[in-house]
Amino acid sequence: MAEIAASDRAYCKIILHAAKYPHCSVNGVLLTERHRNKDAKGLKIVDAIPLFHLTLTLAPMMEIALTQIDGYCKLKGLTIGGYYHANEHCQKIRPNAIACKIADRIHEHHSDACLIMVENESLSVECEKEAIKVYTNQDGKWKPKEQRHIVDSECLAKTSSLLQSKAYRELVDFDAHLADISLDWQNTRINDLVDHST
Amino acid sequence: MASSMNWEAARDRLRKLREEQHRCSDEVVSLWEDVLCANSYRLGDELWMVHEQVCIAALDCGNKDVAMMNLHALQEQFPNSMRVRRLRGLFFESQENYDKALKIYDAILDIDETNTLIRKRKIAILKAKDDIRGAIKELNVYVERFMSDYEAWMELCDLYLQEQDYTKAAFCLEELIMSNPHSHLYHEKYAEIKYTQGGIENMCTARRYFAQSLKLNPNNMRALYGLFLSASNVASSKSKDAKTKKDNIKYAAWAAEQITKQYKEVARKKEVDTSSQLTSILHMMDEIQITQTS
Repeated sequence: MAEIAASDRAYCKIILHAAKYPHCSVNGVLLTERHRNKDAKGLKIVDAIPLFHLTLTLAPMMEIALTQIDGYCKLKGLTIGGYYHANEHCQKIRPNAIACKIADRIHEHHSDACLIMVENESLSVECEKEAIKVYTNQDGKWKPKEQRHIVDSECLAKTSSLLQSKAYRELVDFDAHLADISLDWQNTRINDLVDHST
Repeated sequence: MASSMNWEAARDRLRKLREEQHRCSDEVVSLWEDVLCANSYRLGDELWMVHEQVCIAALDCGNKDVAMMNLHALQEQFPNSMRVRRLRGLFFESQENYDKALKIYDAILDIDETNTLIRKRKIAILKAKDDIRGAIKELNVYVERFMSDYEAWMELCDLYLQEQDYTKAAFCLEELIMSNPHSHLYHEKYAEIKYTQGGIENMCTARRYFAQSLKLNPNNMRALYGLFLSASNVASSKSKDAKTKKDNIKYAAWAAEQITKQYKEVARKKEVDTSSQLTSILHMMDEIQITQTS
């Protein structure tokens, strides 16, 4: 099956989002581009847009967010190619009904879409290992994908450094943006921090 | 950074977080460790509230040492306090030792069965054990008795939303709106629930409640977006008459205008660049397609 890879930016933002709201369920979308080599099938997740931490099961703000992100994607030559979700309960790592529902909707428009679940108990400031699990749609059900690594050790080191410097305090999700529209849901500053971090 | 703050600023920040009930546990612990711990003698009687606040924040962060330090200080000062015993219960909860926590809580309830904070901790334990149905059941019993506990009604609403039981979630919000008809937040959340339930009548209800929320607070961005979406949906519904459609086109257009105005206003006042966001919003408005009829 096709390999999935995630950029440092995407991974860092997923983990920072979970770290910012440790007592909440959080979710967001994954932006993807196709591998340039047409023969190699695969999915490259280049960015993650944090969405919500308040109520994840209500439709209106999800529709607003997805339509705006779609516009953003058109400008950047990307597509909404996946969804990430962290459950509120520490030990619950499987996708719940709402995660599957939203991932299904994205899958309708993007047949290679993936669903990333945050493995809460693997989260740590040291980032010794990947704290995510990828699910792909197989016969209408979301099943875990057997794949060794989605990100490399350099990415984990970057994430650890950002967690230690509490960069998550600056991360903005859509809920935070709706409460104060001067906050940038595109997270330009965090993107720069990740891209220029060593 | 906490370490560069003086003790008065740290004290004021903790006060603000306490009053506004923000959950910024790592910041609270940092302020204590970096600034206030060494300056605690300056806090006067406020010290005990700070100890309690830091204890809870430390438990939230899994920082057992800081939690115990603050808990011991409180136990020494108030050896017979039920409020401090509750903190001991919270400590056991943080260790996932729910049996010990429940023992403490049940002992407190034997003395004072109307202790609402303790009753709510027992429900929180059910949530921690991921027994959401159990938590819903107990919370229903609780709100029947303590009907004016708005926090409990909102928690019940959120639990129902987690289970995607929108009808019961809407009922909880109806209770909240009845008790507080001037809350723009309650109206807005109710509208979101009705929108999610779907169907044209719910959509019309959603539109009315988004509009009412805006009457109460014209700056509620969620309500503005919600009004735009719901009015657009009603305007394009086949089952509504021409006048309703025309009215809803006007509402949607008004909402769109207000949204754009707010972003331009914020760009001007706070000197931030909202142009990229505005582009996304304009794209969104095109996608949702307000069609004009003459």
